[in-house]
Amino acid sequence: MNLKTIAIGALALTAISASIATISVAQTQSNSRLDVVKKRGKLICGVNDKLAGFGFLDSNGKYSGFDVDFCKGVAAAVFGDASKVDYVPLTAAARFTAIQSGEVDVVFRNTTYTSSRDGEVGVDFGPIVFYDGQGVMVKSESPAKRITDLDGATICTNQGTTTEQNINDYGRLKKKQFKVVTYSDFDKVMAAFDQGRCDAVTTDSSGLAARRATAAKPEAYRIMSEIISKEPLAPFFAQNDSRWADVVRWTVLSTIYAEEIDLNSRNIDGAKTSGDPVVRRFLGLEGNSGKGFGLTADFAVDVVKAIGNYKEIYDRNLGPKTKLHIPRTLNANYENGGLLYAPPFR
Amino acid sequence: MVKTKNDPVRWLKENLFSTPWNTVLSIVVVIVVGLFFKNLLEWSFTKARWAVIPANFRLLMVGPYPLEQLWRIWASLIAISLAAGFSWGTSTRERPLARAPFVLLGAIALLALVWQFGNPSGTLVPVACIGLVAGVFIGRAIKTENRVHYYLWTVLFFVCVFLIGFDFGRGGVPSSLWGGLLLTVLLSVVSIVASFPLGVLLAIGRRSKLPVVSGFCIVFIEVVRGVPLIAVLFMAQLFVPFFFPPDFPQLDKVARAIIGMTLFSAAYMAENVRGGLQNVPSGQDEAARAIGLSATQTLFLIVLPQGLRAVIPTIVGQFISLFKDTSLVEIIGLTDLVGIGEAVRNNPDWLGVTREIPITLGVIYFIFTYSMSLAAKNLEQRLKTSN
Repeated sequence: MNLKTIAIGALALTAISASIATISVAQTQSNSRLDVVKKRGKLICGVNDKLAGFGFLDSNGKYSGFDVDFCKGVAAAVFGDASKVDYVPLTAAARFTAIQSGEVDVVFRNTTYTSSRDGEVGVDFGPIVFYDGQGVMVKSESPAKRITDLDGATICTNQGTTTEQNINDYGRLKKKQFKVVTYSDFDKVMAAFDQGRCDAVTTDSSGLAARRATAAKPEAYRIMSEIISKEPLAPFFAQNDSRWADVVRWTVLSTIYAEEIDLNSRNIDGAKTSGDPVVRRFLGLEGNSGKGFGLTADFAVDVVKAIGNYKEIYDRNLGPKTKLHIPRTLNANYENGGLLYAPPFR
Repeated sequence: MVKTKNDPVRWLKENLFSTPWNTVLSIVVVIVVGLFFKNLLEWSFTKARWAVIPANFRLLMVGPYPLEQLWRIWASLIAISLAAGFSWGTSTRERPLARAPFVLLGAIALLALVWQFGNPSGTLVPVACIGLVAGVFIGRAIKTENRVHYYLWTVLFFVCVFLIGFDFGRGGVPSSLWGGLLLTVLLSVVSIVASFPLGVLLAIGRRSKLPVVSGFCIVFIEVVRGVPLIAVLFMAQLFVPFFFPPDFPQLDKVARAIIGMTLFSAAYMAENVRGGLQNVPSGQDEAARAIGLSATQTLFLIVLPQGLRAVIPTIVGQFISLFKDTSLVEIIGLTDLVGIGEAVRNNPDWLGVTREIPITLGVIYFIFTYSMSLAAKNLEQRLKTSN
């Protein structure tokens, strides 16, 4: 190979990479994701397909669950039609890549909102849809009243999550010795717990509640009231796209706001005759809140009609009538002692 | 001798209780195995909630594939049964018809009619069975060359893949909705079909006298064989998207998984095939050249047929392991048979039902892999007799 060939090869390579770079820059500088979604006519939503209550496949093969309902809500906000969603099941490992590569528009997949994910991973988070936190469950007959009473006890959890780190951190902080044992998945953790190989189990409290509720004898287990970590679950999307961020944010907020002002999927049509300016603005009859996001003025009506207000979504997927029966606690409205609080629609 | 073989008491004495040590061992083994089966049977008849299987049968078979599009799967299945019957009929036309398979088919058809497989369209199972039987009779009646069957299956392969996903104007079925056994079978069939020729080419390339060709093949084979499949799949899922600009239409996940598995399997295939090629005595090659065959003719008419025949068991072993390896796609977010099993376990209606599904999946995997080894055995025997 002579010098000339090398030079030509190098030139060609540079030209190719430069053109690819230009294409990428041109593409990223193009319109908001909202325009991409509208043009496509469908929302592509990243979900979990293996988490009871939050995202799973029902017996008919339809995606279902708390997170999935919010995907439908975003589709309803954009298209006025909650069925215009393609779901992409994502693993924990692939979820951020799926946003970075543009494979999905938004991810609703029980993801904890943390500073490093927001700062380093290259995604932006939407409003918190579920306040979770790591808890500890013991057998009912256990003498331990508080987590610190478990000094020297064996605490079991599943691998590959931050729960192991959290319980170890907690033990170090409180100067207690926990023997932490991990299993590959939580079914095995529960089996070990039932066989008496673990004195306590730990994971997110929603998970504990679900395990307790679906056990053969729920009364045999007791969930301690302390929470040792914050796990606020929020949707996320590509960063630096505030128009798309607004759409996702206000879709979630509209369900929370609807609960605050007592609107739900059944009464929202009748509310159009209401004289209350707060209701009228929410319905888009006064002001034009939705227009600013590139949506219709009454996008919130479409959202609430399609998936209901926050309470309806919660009750349908996680509430007392479901097998999971997770108490609302932090996820109650602020007026009921919870953390849900939506900024006003005006 | 014949009498002792049929005498169970004598057999027991000779084989299980011949020495004190053997007696103890036999008793312990019988107790352990007995306890295992007792517990298993007790569990499966009293505690197990087998209802989870019929309730989610469609999900296990096709995953989130939409109900109103299921005709695509049925059409493919019926076409495949017809073709399978046809090939089967042709291959057995010299022999009298065996009865056992038909009894089995009849039983399956009857069972499907009664049980419906948890779904009214289960009535199409008998149709597929009838198709298979009809195919057998057509195959026996019409004299065809082998070539016809190769063409038929090649065409059928593309027709089925097309049928499963293609948009006929009323909306196709995107690959994100393929799942369950359908996805497992599709992934393995496509990867097997694609990796075989690729593997043969790589094997031939590795033996090439051109340093560029053989160098490329060696590097490819060794690099791919040095990496675990799971890493190849992760690579395909996590890195490939970054090679394209953001708004570029993404190659879908199933295609990426298939490409990953095909390349992986081809590297192993190449080494298996190369083993077979080395097995062919050089005299064969020289003799072929001496009677005036070209290098290509020698390769395809003399060396390859003999080389491949020698490694059928290894190749089938590799196909079986590829079939089972498709379960790894679960960790990249595809809902294959194992993935869908996990999903069903996380349906709130069936929480706490943990063992029934893995057992069922094991049975399904066994049926497929065992059929594959039976087919291979059959093929080997036929090639031996035709030799």
